[in-house]
Amino acid sequence: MSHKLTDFRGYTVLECIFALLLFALIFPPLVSVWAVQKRVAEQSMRRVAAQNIGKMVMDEVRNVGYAGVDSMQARPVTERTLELSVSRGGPVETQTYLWEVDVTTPAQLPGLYPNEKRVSVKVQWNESSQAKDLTMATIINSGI
Amino acid sequence: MKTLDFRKRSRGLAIVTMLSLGTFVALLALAMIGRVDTFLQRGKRDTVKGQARLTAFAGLSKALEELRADPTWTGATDFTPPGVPGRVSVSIQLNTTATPMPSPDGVSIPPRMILVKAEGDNGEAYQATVFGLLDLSFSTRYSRAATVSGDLSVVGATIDAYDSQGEPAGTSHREAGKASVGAIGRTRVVEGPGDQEGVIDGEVSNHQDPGVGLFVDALSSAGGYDQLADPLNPYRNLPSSPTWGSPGAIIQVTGSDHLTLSQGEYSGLVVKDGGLVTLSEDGDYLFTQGLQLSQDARIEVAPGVKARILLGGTSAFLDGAKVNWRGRPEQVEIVSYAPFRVDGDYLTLEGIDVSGQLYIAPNSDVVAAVSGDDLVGVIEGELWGAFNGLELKVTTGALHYATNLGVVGMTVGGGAYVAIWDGKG
Repeated sequence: MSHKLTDFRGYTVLECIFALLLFALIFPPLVSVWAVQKRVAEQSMRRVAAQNIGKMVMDEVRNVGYAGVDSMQARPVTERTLELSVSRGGPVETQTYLWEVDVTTPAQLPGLYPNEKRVSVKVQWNESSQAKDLTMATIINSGI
Repeated sequence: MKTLDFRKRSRGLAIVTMLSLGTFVALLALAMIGRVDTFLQRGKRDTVKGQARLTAFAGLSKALEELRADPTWTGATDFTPPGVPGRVSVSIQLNTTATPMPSPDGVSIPPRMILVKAEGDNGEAYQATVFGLLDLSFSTRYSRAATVSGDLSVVGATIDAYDSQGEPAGTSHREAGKASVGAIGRTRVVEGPGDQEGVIDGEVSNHQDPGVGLFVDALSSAGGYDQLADPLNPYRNLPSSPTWGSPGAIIQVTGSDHLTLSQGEYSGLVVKDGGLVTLSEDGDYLFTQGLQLSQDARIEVAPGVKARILLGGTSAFLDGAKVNWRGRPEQVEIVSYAPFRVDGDYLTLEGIDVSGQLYIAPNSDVVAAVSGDDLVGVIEGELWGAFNGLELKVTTGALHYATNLGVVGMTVGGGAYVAIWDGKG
C-alpha cells in the first residue's frame, strides 16, 4: 500500500515537472504575441485614423474644386492639425495628426492636361518617437 | 481497491490537464496572430481601397479632357494617370435620348448625359469603381455648350451650317442644308431647305471639310447680336446689366491730351489721334454710350490697378487702338452689353505686337461680342461672347460664345476650350 502511494507521488511529481516545462515553453511566446498584437492593433488603428483623415481632406479638396484647392495648400499649420483622443478602458491617449496638401500644376508635371491639377494629401503622425506618414493622390479638373 | 483505481485513474491527470491547457493557450495564440494579421490587413485594405478610388477619380478627369478634345473618344484601358499611383481604365456610355437610360452597371443615365465609368487600382489587387455623369457639353458649367478640336462641335445650338465641299481651303460658299455634320458614332445631314437655318439638337461635329472648318452664319436670324442682348453667361457670376445713367456729353480725348479717370459712371468716351486715358483706381468704369477708340488711341491702367470697363452702348476699338498695352492682362476686364467691334490691338501682353488682331492674353477675361471685317483673333485668355471675324485661333485659352459666329478659319489648340450656348441655358 505504502509502495503504491509512493508510486503515485512519483508520477505526480514527474507530471508536474513536465507540465511546468510545457507551461514555461508556451507562455513566454504567448506574452510576446500578446504584446505584438497590442502594438500592431494600435499601429493599425492610427493608420486607419490617418486614412480617414486623408479621405476627409480629399473630400474637401473635391468640394473646393480646381479653383479653391490652392487655398487649402496655403492653410496655416493650426488649421491642418487634428488631435484624436482614444480610451480603451484606461487613460485617454491623444494622437496628433498633421495633414498637408500639395498641388502640382501641368507646368510642374508633364502629362497633366491644362485644366488639371494633381493633388496629394499627406497625413503625418508620430509613433514611438518615429515619424509616420500616409500619402494619397488624385487629379482634379476644372470641369468637374 | 477503490483507492488503487482512483490512483490509476489519477495517473496522467496533471499532464492531460496541462496538455489541454497548452492546446488551448496555443489556439489562443494562433487566434491572436490571426487577429494581428486582420488588423494589418484592415489598415492596408483601407489604404489601398482609398487610393484606388482616388485613382479612379483621376480617370474621370482624363475622360473629361479627352472628350473635350475629341467627342468621339470612347475610353482607355489600363493607363497610369500622371503622378497618381496605380492604373485606371475608363469607359463611357452616352445617352443622347430625351429619357433616362439604364447602363449595364445599373446606373441610370439622365437624358443627354454621358456616363463615365472609371475603374482604378493601385496595383495591389483592389479595384474601386467610380461613375461620373457629364453633361453632353462635357462641362458642368454649361447646360448647352460644345467643344472644338480642329473641327467644330455644337450641342443644342441653333445654327446655320455652311459647307465648302470641293472648294479650295480658305474659300467657301453657302450650301445650306448640305453640310454633313457628324454626331458621335453617326453622321447626319443638317436639315434646312434653301437658306433657312438648320436646327441641330444633338452632338454634332463637322467632318466634311477637315482643315476648313464649320461655317456658321453670324448674321442668321437665330443669332448674331440679337442673341447677345444679354451676352453674359448666366453661370459666370457677373452682375446683370447695371443701371445706366442718362446719355450726356461725350468726353473727347484727342492728340496729346491725357485724361485720368477715376472709377465711376461716364456718359461716353471717344479717344483718337493718339489720345491717352489712364484708369487710375480700382473699380468699375461705366460708359453708358460706349467707348470709341481709334487712330492709335490708348487706354492705360495705372500700375497695380484692376479696372472693369462696362460698356452700355456700341463700342469700337479701331485703327491701332491699344488697351492696357503696358499692363498685365489681368488688370482689365471688359464687359460689353452692346455690339462691340474690334479692329485694332487689344489686351496685349508686355509689348507683344499683335497689330491687326484681337488678342486675348493669358489670364485676360473679356465679355463681349466682338466683330471686325478682317479680324484675326488669337485667344489665350478667355473671351465670353460672339466672335465674328476672318480667322480665329484659340490656343491655350477659352472662347465661350453665344450661338452664332462667322469664322472662315478656326483652329483650336490642344487644351483650348470653345463653348457655345444658345441662350436657353
